[in-house]
Amino acid sequence: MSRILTGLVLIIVVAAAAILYAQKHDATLARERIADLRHDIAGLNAELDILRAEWTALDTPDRIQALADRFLVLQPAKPEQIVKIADLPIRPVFEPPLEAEAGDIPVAFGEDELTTGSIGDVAPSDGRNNEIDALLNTLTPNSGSAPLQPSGAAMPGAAQ
Amino acid sequence: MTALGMFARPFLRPHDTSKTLPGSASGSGRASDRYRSRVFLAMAVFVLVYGAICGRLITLGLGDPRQTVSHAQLIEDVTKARPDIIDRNGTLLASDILVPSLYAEPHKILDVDLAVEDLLTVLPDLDADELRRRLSSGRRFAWVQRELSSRERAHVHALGIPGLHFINETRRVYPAGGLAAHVLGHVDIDNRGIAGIERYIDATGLADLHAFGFARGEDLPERRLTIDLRVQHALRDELATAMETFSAKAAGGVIIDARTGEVVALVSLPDYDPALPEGSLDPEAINRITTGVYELGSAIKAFTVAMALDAGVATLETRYDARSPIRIASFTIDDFHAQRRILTVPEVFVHSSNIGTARMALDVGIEGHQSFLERLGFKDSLPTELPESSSPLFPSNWGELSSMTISFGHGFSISPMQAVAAGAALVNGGRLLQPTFLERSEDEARSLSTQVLKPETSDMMRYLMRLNAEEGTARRADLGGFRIGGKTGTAEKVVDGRYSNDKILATFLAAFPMEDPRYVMLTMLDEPKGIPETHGYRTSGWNIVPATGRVIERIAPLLGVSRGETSDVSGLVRAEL
Repeated sequence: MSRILTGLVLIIVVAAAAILYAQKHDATLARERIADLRHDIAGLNAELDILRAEWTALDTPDRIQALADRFLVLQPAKPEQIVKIADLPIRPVFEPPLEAEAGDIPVAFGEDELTTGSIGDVAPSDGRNNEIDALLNTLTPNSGSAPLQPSGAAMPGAAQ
Repeated sequence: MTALGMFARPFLRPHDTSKTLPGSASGSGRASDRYRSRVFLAMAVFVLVYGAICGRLITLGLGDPRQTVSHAQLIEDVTKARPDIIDRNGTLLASDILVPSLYAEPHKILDVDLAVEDLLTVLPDLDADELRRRLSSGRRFAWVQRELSSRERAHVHALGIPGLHFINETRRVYPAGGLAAHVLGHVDIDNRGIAGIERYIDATGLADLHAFGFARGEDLPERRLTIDLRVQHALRDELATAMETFSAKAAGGVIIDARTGEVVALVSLPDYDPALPEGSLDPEAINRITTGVYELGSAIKAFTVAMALDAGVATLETRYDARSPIRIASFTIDDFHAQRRILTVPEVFVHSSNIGTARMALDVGIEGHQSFLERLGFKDSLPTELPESSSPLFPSNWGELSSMTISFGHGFSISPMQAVAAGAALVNGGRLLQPTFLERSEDEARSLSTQVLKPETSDMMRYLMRLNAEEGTARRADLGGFRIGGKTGTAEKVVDGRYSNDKILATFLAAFPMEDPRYVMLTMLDEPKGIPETHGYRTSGWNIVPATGRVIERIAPLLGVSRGETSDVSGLVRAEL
């Protein structure tokens, strides 16, 4: 009986020692891994700091302005060009101008393949050209404050 | 521990244990004495072993964990000795970066010539002879190259030369360069802040943390300033252009939030690059906004008029006799744009009449004048987070003549920061706020402010300043529809104790939008020259005023001030008109 007990105790002790050893070994490995990861994190953080500083340096307004002056044909935005969304006029619906002269309007409408999907091919009708001219006149910068022709008035013509 | 491991290892295999155990047990069955002594022996061994384990655990638990220093912890120790500084939108203004430096242990280098040859392929700027000499010296340490880029570091690492090592050094960088040099300040070689906000950070506890070795990267929260880098750039850019156009000696400008006192931009030219702090030693590179004190000239009339209106000795309809110069002692006070007639208060303001404001100061009296300037904070130096601030200069004997000249901005000197803080009080309803570079909410500002003017006085001042931009000397600043208002000043500088005719300081105290001012600014140009485009004029209305107008045109959209039709100025004043 006591022999069995001794044997059991011995087995337990040996097993406990083995488990302890294994745990300690794991702990050592884990600690090494933690140290490695910390090292990596510190390295990456340091790199991040450098990249952040570099990004900011490349993004400073004086550098961008110098580059823009040199390489862009754009002008700085004027205060008049900045408006609130609420101040925007309702989006006008353009009639396809049928015999518009070059230079009248910046975009080609109607007769080429570049027409947008919402406006189909329309048969020429001389009577409506005046109406379109009137609409375009209201959209030119000189008379920008004039009220736009209501889009509903133009639509039936387009549908014909 | 290792001993325990060796002891335990044979028992890890189960079939080993099963064989060993019966053998040992059968031998111990004969004599009870022997049996007992074996048990005791076994017990003693286990007690000893477990005692040793427990003892080791206790020593581990009690010991200083830092004794087990790893490479990673070493790096953390040198990272980020100072907090990052960011602007109000989060743009990085100052940061610490780790830069690798390459050093050699010459006694460990096997083939010096080969090492030098290899290094030159990666770092072509090295002086080969010098490097060869240093590496052959047989010493234990020699710098090869300080502050490498990470790419260079990788290349050198790939060379695999024995005896070369990297060490990381912390370096303070200012990615936004010299845009806000006077606000940020700079650090010395040991990374201690010695000017500007950097010094303020040290003064508010960082230095103590450093002394105890607690200042570590992640523990340091970034410091957010009230500066807006975009606004700062616009102000600096326009001031630099104006300085060049009018061949001025120096320029300066400051923009503060009228409601909170937050400084949105502060520029003093010439400035320097914080990365090269030697530049700050140039006496011309001082911070003119907080450190310099100036006779600001006619811009001060805004305060004199406010004083007269606030004290009740004048209303907007009070008339002042400006038909002839005032003669007092051996001095004559005359107007620059002489009207030679009787002027109302708005006319005194718009025509910038010295005679009119001198008479206002006389009406208020010397004591009233002194106490008013004291209320506006002109008598003491104005403390901000920036460590540098100068004391204002006032005449030691304040008689009637002093009062008269002070009324139009001569005979006393204050810093532009003081003027802009008081300027904010003129237009924000009369609340004086101490300017700050750290965030402050409107509620906080309200509790910190002191009421120095009646709100009605502030209303009248907004009307007068707007009027001056519509038809007075400030009209060249009225661009873009941002309802600018202001008071210009052209002060003759004192040269060798006398007022100079050709050396002037052009100043402009401005605010926008005038119906409810959000920003107040003061700009100045030191010794501008007349040019053909200004018909030879060098008064402030021709140089600093249009420049300030362009600044506002650029920054107002950024600051969310929307354009509007120029409102009828008389709408600004309630019952007075």
